[in-house]
Amino acid sequence: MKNLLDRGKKLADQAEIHVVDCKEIPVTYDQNTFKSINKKNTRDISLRLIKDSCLGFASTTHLNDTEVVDRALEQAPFGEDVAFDFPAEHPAEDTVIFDQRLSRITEEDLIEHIYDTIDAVAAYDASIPLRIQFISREITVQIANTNGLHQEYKKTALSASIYTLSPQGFIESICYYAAGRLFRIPDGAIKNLIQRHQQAQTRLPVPTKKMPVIFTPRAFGALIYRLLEAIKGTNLNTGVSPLEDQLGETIFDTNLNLKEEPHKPYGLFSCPVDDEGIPTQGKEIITAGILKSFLYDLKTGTEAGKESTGNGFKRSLIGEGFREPPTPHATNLFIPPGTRSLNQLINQMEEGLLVDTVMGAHTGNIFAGEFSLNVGCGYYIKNGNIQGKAVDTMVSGNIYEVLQEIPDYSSELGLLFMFEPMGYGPDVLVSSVSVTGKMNE
Amino acid sequence: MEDILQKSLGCNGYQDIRFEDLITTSIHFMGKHLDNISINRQRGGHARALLGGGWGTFSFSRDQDTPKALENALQATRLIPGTLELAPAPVIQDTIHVQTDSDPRPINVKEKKRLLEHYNNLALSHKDIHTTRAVYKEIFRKKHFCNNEGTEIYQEQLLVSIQMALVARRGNIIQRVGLSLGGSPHFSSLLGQEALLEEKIKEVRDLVQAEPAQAGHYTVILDPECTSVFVHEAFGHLSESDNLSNNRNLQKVMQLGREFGPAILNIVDDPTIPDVPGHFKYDDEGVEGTRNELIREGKLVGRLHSRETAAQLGEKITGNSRATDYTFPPVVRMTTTFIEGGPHTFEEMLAGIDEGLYLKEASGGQTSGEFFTFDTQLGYQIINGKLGPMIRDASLSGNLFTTLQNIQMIGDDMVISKSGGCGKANQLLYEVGMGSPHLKIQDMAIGGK
Repeated sequence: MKNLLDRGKKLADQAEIHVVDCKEIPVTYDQNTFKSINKKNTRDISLRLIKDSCLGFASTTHLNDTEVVDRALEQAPFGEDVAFDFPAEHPAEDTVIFDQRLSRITEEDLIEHIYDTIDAVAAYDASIPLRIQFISREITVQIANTNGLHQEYKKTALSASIYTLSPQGFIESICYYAAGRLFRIPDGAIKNLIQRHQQAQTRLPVPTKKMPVIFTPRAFGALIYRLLEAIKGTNLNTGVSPLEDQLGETIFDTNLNLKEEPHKPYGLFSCPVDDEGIPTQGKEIITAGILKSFLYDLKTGTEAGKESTGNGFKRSLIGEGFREPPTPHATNLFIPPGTRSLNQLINQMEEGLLVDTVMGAHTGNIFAGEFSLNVGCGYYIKNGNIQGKAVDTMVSGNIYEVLQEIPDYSSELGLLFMFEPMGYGPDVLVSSVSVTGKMNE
Repeated sequence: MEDILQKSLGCNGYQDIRFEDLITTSIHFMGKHLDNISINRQRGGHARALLGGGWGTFSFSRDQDTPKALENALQATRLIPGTLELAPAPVIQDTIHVQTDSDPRPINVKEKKRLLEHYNNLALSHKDIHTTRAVYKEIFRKKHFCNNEGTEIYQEQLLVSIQMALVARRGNIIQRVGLSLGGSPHFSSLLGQEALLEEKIKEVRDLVQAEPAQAGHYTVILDPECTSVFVHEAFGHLSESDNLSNNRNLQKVMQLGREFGPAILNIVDDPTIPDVPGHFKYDDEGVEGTRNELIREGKLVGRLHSRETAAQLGEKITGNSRATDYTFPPVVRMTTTFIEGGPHTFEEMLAGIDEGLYLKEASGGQTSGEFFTFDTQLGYQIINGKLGPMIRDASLSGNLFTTLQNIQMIGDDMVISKSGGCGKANQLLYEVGMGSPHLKIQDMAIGGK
């Protein structure tokens, strides 16, 4: 690492190096057989240089590939003009994200976890076909620059996905669990998976009209994603965000609160510093419906005349984002739960929809807050009870309209999702969403 | 490095190794600002072993992991015994170099940036263009493959493209239209596309004045781009056999000979078409990619296979086992998937539609197997057989089986898209392509306002 930094310092004004080592063991089981164990042990290195106020970026996989410095330097003369310096070191908050026991987990252990899960499901119904994947991951991150910064942390993560399959062989219901430390899937989660599977055996068309919709956190992430895109420095500075002049304004129901908690112990996106080495900060994004924060990295913060908010991450929607410079991203999100259980919310609903998974979350006019989502796993509710799986159903609208009325949240917390988990939240009851179905009324 | 890998191949069960050296050059503009230029190099390998049960695989990038890569893979496959077999494949020794008469690699970054900036400035010079996003991407892959059956392949792949998004804004209405150039190994395919850009600029300018689509069920005409996304999402993914190799119920649904659509419907997957994103010679398990008919005269006649799925279903290998790079195991994926041109003109399609939609500008889709969805950004109402006012933000969704049956007409104007890309199994692969003619479908569910 030092060799690259030294070379960078010699040839440019400032240099920064970011090294991510990733060890991963995914074990996959599919209907009575173990499909694969796909171990991974990879390294990614990225380098940023500033020379004459111009930024150069290059990445490699090998610390001895010193040409990475030359590649970054080659483009710096006609690279982007930047007004920031790589940061000096600031003390970061201690963040508990490494589980010793999880870091020692082996593929044999993961196989055992899968057998345990199969047994847990079989206790309810041994006939349901299952697809199960456990993934353990250990990541070591190092960030150093020529202004004296050196940050390093290690984190662990374990995820478990369990899918039940329909008689036709398509995914019927989903249970996903993930944390920064070793866990056992609670029996309640398995029970819920089986219950949804059974409810889905009745398939119903739903009417086309506006109705109340409960989004599970897994589905609600698609709506939150639209807000996050609108508060990122990248989109604010280029004027595509409709929220550029809305800071401090009430933009949602006063019942909506959304926070960022980067120091939550064993949180999936918890970390002491961002990918530029800047300490992460807990922050309120929406408080009582009021927009409280924007998300900036060094570059977009400087452009806007503000400081980085510790949100510079190399992340992309699909796959890994190591190979591009950081852009603003949120860490662990948190939406506080309500007091009544999901079942109580369902029981009080005259007619509505429970939406658990959606498709098309990444498509459409994201910046404008519009969503038009095909319901994957969704359930039609009538007279306080789930009647069956909603088929051929879409929900659509604009988050700045539909999130004006959020009467309630469930008391259970789950993972907010946008392809990958993004934080934690309850089931969210939204008063009125446009539902397109195929029931003739 | 390749020697070390080859020497570590043993005779136990099946073993293979890929070693890849990838260089990616990207240039990004956001509005008038250069967002970043990056030149990335990744080197690493992927070892696979199969001793009868499940696969053991090991991805690595550090040199010290190389000699024990296969040992790691073997240790994993030993833990999961079973009866998995691979379909036999010809032993191949071959070397494939990039064929291009306009090689982007020797051209310096400055000139690439200048070209992208030229298009970007052209767009931004129109006062109605609020902002842009413009991306130059050049991906050069050097891939070595060898297995313990004697196959040894060195293969190069090169793909150069420009993708632009043009954004117009009227008050709170923000609209975007996309433009793709290149999608081939030729730098020259990026040049001289100003007229196409002007056309797109006009579209997005009109789009902010358009009304959103009204939700409901319509007879729709999809343009070739939308039809391409439709065939990729609504049918292509289901023809990837890894979904059904372990699934007897789905196998019944996907029985060869089953009628999926009208007799005018023919769907093909073909990696041999040159100069498009989905082109390659050998897949990532050393099998030659072949043209495969998936639907012929409305009936299911074929599907896409890896050696594993071909053995499980007792069908012939097709060469569709592909990985994004060495950090992933290969999965069954499409190459260039398209609906063949049909008998109908656009005018014939319009005739007889009292109230419908003509949809263009697909902006991404997704499928769960049985259901699919995708968004379009731009369209026109069809009123009494004629194109009416422009509409925006229509999204389509439906059940694959009923939607294919609802195809009424197929246009005579097949084109293969310059843009590709698919994110199956969290592996974003740019070298997946698609194409199609215009398509007329009845009773399509449209989500909108």
